[in-house]
Amino acid sequence: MIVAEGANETQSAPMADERRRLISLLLFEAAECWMALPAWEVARLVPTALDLWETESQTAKLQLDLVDLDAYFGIPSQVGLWIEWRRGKETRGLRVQRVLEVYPCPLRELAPIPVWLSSAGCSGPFWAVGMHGEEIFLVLDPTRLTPV
Amino acid sequence: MAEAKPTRPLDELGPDDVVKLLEEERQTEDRKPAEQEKILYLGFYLGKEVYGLPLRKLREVARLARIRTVPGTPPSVAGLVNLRGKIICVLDVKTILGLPYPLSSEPRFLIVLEGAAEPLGLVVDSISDIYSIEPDQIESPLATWPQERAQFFMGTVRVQGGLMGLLDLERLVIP
Repeated sequence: MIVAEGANETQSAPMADERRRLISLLLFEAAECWMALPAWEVARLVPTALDLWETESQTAKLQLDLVDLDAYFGIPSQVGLWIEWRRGKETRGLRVQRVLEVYPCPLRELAPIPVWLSSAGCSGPFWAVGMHGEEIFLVLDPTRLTPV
Repeated sequence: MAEAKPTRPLDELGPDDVVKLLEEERQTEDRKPAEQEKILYLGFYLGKEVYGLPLRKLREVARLARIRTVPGTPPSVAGLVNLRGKIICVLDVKTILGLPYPLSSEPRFLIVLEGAAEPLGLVVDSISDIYSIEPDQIESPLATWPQERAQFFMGTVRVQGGLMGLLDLERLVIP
């Protein structure tokens, strides 16, 4: 009887593939910590909010929420730049201190926000944590930010 | 009332010693109740005051490398720490107890708790010693303490050099 190669591995292959899957994250610094956004949700990076504003249509301007992440978390604002974030029809302008890199993060290296923080109701707009080298970053969900 | 005696000389105790004692303590869980009358407590410093936690409820002690703050969290949340590749949430005991001491610039220690759904850590200034304490050595918290402070204590015990506050771990880590 001929057995197809890899036939005995069918049950473990999907799990192994899932663990090897990479998710591209844009790492940036804001509010004195590292944060991340899925790279495919980042439309562009611009130096000022005016640059975000000027290229939007009238309708889009009305829908564009601007959030200075330093000010949002009570940190004195410093020189920075703006990220235009888009997810479907949702869009936000996010002011950050600096953009670090696009990091192909293995899915297995992301973890949910620690249970204690969720239970205490202080996970805020973050939905996951990850590590890049020794550095910890927080994955941000801009839809959970209250517009300034 | 007799003082609780430390089990090891103060200057011989390091984080590795504490981890070893934690493992030994867990191996004694099957002993008869009569032999467990004495409870081991890990003593640690916050400023100049010494506090204690039951050793059996602790997983490990490590030198604190770096804490990453989480924006928007209350002051009692020190932040997140990378502990051998695992991210754990860390609480600041000094802040929880409302102590007025300034933040220490010296390297601090992390006490990782046992038994939680996922690891939870406590930041302390330094490690004191391991104390073997009998239940009848434990006194009530001082009546002069304000309720908002006394609520975190199971009691106090006299140790070499003063009074050690025994903390109520469940109350300490309530979200």
